[in-house]
Amino acid sequence: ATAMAASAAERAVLEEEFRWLLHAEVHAVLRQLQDILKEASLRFTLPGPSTEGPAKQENFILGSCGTDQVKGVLTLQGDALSQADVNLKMPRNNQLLHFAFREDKQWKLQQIQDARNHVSQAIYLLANRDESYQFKTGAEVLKLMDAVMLQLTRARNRLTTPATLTLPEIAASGLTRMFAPTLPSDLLVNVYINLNKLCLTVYQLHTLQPTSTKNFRPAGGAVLHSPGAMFEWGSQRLEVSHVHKVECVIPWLNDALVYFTVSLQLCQQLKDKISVFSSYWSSRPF
Amino acid sequence: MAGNSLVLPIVLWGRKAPTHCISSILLTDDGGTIVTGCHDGQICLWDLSEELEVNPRALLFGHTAAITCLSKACASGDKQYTVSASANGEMCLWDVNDGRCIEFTKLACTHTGIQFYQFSVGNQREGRLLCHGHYPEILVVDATSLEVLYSLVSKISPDWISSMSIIRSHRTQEDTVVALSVTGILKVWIVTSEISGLQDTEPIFEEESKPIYCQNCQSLSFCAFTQRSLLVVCSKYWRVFDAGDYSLLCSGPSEDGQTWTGGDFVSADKVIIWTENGQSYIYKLPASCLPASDSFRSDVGKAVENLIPPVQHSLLDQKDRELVICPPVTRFFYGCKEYLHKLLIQGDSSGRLSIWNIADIADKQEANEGLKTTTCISLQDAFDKLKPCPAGIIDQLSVIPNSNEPLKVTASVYIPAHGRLVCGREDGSIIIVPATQTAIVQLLQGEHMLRRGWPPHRTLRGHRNKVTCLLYPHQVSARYDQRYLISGGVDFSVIIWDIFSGEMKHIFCVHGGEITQLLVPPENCSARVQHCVCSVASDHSVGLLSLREKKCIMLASRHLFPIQVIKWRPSDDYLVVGCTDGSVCVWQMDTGALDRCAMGITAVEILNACDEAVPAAVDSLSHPAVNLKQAMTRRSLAALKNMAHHKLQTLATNLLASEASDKGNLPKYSHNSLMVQAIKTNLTDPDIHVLFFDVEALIIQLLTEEASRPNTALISPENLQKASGSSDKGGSFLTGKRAAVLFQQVKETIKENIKEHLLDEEEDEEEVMRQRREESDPEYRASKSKPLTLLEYNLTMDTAKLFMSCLHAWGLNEVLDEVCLDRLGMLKPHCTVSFGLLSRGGHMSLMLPGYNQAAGKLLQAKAEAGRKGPATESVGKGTYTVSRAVTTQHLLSIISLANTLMSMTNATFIGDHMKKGPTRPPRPGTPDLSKARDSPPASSNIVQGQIKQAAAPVSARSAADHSGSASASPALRTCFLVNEGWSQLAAMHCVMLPDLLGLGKFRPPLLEMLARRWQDRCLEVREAAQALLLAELRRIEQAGRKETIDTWAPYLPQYMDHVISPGVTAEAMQTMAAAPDASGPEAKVQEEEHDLVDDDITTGCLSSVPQMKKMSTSYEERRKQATAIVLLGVIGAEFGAEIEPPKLLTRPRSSSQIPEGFGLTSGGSNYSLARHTCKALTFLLLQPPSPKLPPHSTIRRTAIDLIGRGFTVWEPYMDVSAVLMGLLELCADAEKQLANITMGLPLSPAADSARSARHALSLIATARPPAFITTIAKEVHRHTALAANTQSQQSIHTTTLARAKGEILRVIEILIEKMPTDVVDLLVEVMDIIMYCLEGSLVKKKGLQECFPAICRFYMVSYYERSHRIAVGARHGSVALYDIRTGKCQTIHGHKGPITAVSFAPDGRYLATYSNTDSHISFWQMNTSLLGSIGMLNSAPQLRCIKTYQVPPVQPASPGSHNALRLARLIWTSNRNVILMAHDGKEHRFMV
Repeated sequence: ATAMAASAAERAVLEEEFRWLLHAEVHAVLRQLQDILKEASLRFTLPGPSTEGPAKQENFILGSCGTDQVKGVLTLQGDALSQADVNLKMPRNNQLLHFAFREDKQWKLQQIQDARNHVSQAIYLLANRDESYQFKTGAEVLKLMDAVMLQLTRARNRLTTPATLTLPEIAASGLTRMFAPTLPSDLLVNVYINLNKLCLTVYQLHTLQPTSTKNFRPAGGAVLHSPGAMFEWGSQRLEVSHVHKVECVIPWLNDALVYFTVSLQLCQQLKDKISVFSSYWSSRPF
Repeated sequence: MAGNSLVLPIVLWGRKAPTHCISSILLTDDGGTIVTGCHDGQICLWDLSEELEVNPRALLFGHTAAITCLSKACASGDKQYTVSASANGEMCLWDVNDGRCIEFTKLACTHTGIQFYQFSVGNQREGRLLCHGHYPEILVVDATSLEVLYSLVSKISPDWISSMSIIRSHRTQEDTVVALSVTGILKVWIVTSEISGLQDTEPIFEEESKPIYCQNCQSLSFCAFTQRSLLVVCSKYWRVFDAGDYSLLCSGPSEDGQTWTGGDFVSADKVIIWTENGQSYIYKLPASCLPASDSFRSDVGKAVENLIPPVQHSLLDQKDRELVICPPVTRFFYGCKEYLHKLLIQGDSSGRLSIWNIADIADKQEANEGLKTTTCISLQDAFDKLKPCPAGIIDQLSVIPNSNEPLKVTASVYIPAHGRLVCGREDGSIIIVPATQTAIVQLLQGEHMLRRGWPPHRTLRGHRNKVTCLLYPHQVSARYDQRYLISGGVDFSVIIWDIFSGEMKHIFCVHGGEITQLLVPPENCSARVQHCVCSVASDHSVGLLSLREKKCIMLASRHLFPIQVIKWRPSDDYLVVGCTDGSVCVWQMDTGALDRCAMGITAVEILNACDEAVPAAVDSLSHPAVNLKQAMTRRSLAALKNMAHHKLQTLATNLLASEASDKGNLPKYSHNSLMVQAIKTNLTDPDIHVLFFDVEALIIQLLTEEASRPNTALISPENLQKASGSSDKGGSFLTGKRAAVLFQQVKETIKENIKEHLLDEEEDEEEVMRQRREESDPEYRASKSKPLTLLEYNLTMDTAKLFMSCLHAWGLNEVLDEVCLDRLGMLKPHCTVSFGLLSRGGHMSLMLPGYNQAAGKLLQAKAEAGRKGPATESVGKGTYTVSRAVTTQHLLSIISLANTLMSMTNATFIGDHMKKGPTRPPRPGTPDLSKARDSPPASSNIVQGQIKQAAAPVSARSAADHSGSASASPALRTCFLVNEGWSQLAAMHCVMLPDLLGLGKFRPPLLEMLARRWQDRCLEVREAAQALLLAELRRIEQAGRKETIDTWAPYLPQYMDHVISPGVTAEAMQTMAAAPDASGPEAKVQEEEHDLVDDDITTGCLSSVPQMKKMSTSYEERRKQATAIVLLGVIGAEFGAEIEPPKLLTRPRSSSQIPEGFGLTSGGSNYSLARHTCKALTFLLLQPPSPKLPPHSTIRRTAIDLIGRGFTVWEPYMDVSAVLMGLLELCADAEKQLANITMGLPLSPAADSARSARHALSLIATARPPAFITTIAKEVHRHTALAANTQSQQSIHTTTLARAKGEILRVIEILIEKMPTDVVDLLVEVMDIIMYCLEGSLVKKKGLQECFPAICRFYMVSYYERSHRIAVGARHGSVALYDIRTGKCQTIHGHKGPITAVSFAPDGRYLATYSNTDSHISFWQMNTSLLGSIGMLNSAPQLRCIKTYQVPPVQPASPGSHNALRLARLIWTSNRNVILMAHDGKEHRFMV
């Protein structure tokens, strides 16, 4: 009987604690989350209706610690590359090649736009549950957290996992047609975001002779193809001979990623707190 | 249809409805079905009646993430297709009528909205799906194949599209797509039919891009009434725009700061807008928004804020709404032409649907009065309404005192080797129970209902709270002790149990959270890890618990996020933990050290690398649907695919083992016919149990058990045959022999299969390895046979009993129902059984309980059920009125099983079950009373008395015709009656259902599904499919068949004409077909080929197939081609003659009047169908084997079969010689393979083709004897000529002929037996063939009489042993003389008409010939001297006609009869005297 009484008292305390969690703590966390995410979304400089005029331009000088055969200066304007200057020193004859974007062209970095959209969706979800809203069940909070975390995970994944492309896909992408003078046919260029870095890869190709004894195996999709990868383009069979990758850290992307991680952890902690209680309520003495 | 196997699920839902948190809603065009998608990935189909009553019908499984959107996917008509998309990029195309998944695909991007759009190109209409989502464009997807065709992209500030609408303007005849991006920019694309014409992948750019400053847009809708305005609903306001120039017409704010989630036009002047918390408001638009009004557009450009339209109505919410956990989904639907309701449908997180009928109030002008919901129902409501409650798997064992809710089952695992189901419950106890018996209790009514504690079970107690997961490691890997069962609970503990003794072996308490998953490490881990299980807990920790050492050898904890996936890298001793946030931790198993943590792309690469290393050990934990999908996919791919093969493997090992030890005492093998899979739609739900019945496996098991039964029957089969007269299928072979025969057959087949398995690279490695182990490890085998210490029972018969009882259409034929109950031992179901339908790729549709309750009639039905007992009308026959696909599968199953049971001796379910129970009074409940009205009074005794004996009077009526049986012993009669019962059961389902159910209700089987099983691997299923297909084709009559032809003819692939042109030899054709340039259609056939062979494999290799035509990559499309070939082949073969012009109705024999085909148009092109079908069939037969078209595939076999069946139809279009050679090639080795084909066991593919080919040859030969004989004779001549010319080089062709000698002789023998007239007409050719086929030396030794007795029956054939000569009298009056020694032939002409008889004199010096036509008898002197014989070696012998006598002609007894062949014969009485004996006994004597 005493055990039962104790457990009843315990139960009352737990219930009280849970109510506090639902009514006070959840909103505190949501508030915090919203602040962080707003901060994060500010990083994605958004040319919206509120801030008229073009977004500010940032220049990034791309390089690698090793050889400096490729140098690039990319100009980022919001989520689009507005200018690009690529200098390539051909390894064979030390000839210097220079390409730039055509004046009228911009190349959109879809990863940034997607991440920004996912964040704003997360903010929208949170904004609909401000202090005036009364959470009634834990399940409700869990559901909301799931939805927010889904958006945040996607936002972060868009930045951390660039699309894996096959070589023909890179060759077919519009990026290769953006340059003036046009890229020679034995060069492929790809730009993507990996984590907090803006990356530029240049692939040098050479044609495989039809009589070649090499076993032709088209390479699958990859973020970064290695030399020796083969593919078929038009009627030609091509092989990657050299790969150059240069990159540069974008500071505000770094911030955004940190914010994402922090908010994801906040969400998870809230979920864990709630589910401790949920599993307690659902269990019945037998 | 999952793979080739015929697998039927039955669901035990339990009382709690599955969680269905609705995320999207759709109402089908006909207004008959509401489709809802939920956050857990299931889709629910709800029937909506005219009176707006709603009843849930089925739940569709297959998506592994939340459903994001639903859309219709076909224009209209009788098809109701719906497409669904989920958050992880999956798209599925469903047939709403039966819940089949038609097509599915997965893209990298998430769709949030799909709209159906129909392009018209000429008079062709093609469906397109316009999709938008988390990507900055609109994808245009083909509505049947789900391929992305092209995209609509933006040039100016591209961004995600948040909503979209298609505007059809009748004025400009231009269709435009209007979309709003997330940043509030309106985009317009023009999509016209020209665009759909170019099938490029070129994107289309927008026509117009205009910022309209709408933030957080929720919906965009076009006014279908005026076609002039657009409604845009944003979260805080809604706006109406002019659809012409997109200028703002009016704007409204949100009510009380609520958030809008969508809206639509209700009529030309009203809009309905709904909020996030489920309120809806109807607004009347101001005049400036109405094109009909004068002041239209009067406010454009002015400030619109002061123009707030008034609320007209608000739709009230449910007052007593359950707590919702997320915003409800609302959609507005208005009917098209035939359907005029205007419905607002809302679905919420508790699986509740609320419907408001807007049409009711649209005209009333009362303001601000809330409109009540018209209908409101949730899944749980539907479950609660049912009486009896939906059954759970162990409800009878889980009743708690003082509560009417049974204990929930929270985890379960099925042990197929023992047929036991282990259930963990919410109170912490674990129950082990025989699966079939507990299912029988739950589903069927019978004496077991009254028994306490039935079925026998064992309870394990140890957990202090809910059991969360169960694992039986021995089932995954044999390295574990088969006694061990592992359970994990909410109380943080993992317990090892001994299932044989029931004791608790050990408790692990290492985790700090409830256990969520238990896993088995892969095979090649270190020895220490091999004896561990891996446990995952909700505190984000992973443990390796050693069962041998009884301790935790590693604990990987401190992960920040829940664990999503565990992978293994045994070679590096790594355990890889993937968390939900995408991070990966790599742990060293031996030391427990954290090797590294990775994020992003590295993490993905690490996980992928594990997949490469250990493909089998993938296990995802996050989502219950994922687990289900994986389980299903794995089942369908690995388990279901090779079920029969695997079955045979196990059988073989057991048989071989038994041979070594003790014959007749077979060890138990594992039972694969029943699988129990527990599924959860949501992690918090109790388990739902799905029983998967594999019909093929069940048939095999039944037949094997029958064969291995030591004392099969009390009666000898001869008696049985006499008694029944008709049951040739029954025990037509001796029982003792039967087992041996079966063993032999199984072993043969297995040898083949094993060979194939080892050779075939594509085969699952895992499978092969397991087989190898099973073969090699005797201990493993022995251990398998050890039963649990529970009551023994016959699992196979129990499974069959359960299955047949559920399938039978009860209540249609009372007499038959009696027979089923009393004689066959079947039981009536308590209520309608929830069946399911499996589609490709692990997609599944499960009927919800009460699916057939007509909406709105639930209450009456309930009242009725209370009075009359559960066996009311609704029970039983339900499944045949559900959908055509369901009918097909169920009919196939029940007929094939009934036939199997019929072929067994005394296969009744009575007595097998509950042998040890005390005899009980009749079944409880009232069904007996209701039955007793019509049945003879004796029936009440039956139930009480000894069932077997009493079966006779019931069936007195049916047995009366077979008076012979009365004299037989009672046991014999029982057996006969049982068999007859099965045959009645099969007959009723095969042909009588349409009449009994009424055409309005009956859903006939799908022809195409039957056609695909025309040559099913399992003979019983094949026979059932053929019988059903023919019955159905007959039922639909000529008109229906014409319609079928019209439907399928367009799918028939068109083959190049030159492939099979007359005169082209088989070699030429084969080389031509093999040549690489013969591209298009062949490639297609190869693909489709593949489909029929194995549905599931195809899906994997689809992408690698080069794209021939736009449609060709679509799975469904290619399968349709294959189906078309089969279906048209069947119709052509079976009904070909009938659909032609009437003058050809009788199938004439002369070749000038061959049926010309089955085209429908009376014009000149009416042979094309027959020709094309024939081309396709011959192509399939003759195409040389390739990886994609294996030599012995289902479709090839089907083609063979159909060529044989419809030869008369195809003959004019095919190269007969090539076809015959192709068939002979296939059955050349038939003797070896087909030694013992008797039982319905699956054959090895090669043997099966041989069997079909042999059958086809016989059919061709008997249908067209002259064609067969002349063709073969031609080939023989060609061959001999070839052999004479080039002696060394043997072409494929000739070796075929040489190898098939035995087969040719067999056919000739059949011909002589059945068509002697035709043989006599071409006797010389026949003799040519025989001479070629018979071994000369053998004939010399044994004589013709012994070598080929059949031919010697003819009077026109005579054989003289000493000189080894054969004389054959031909039709045209000549006599052919063969010399066996040289193989040469000489012809003499002597008569003017057909020769009636020939005979050699006893000393061989004379040959007498007689022709009835010219009534002459001639004597020829043979050269028998030694010199002459030598001379004959090189030159023709001298033959002289020495005498001719005139004889009075013999009159034939009746013209045209076979007697014409036996008019007269010649009998030599001595060397010089001969008697001409006529058929009427008249004799004429002659002397040389």
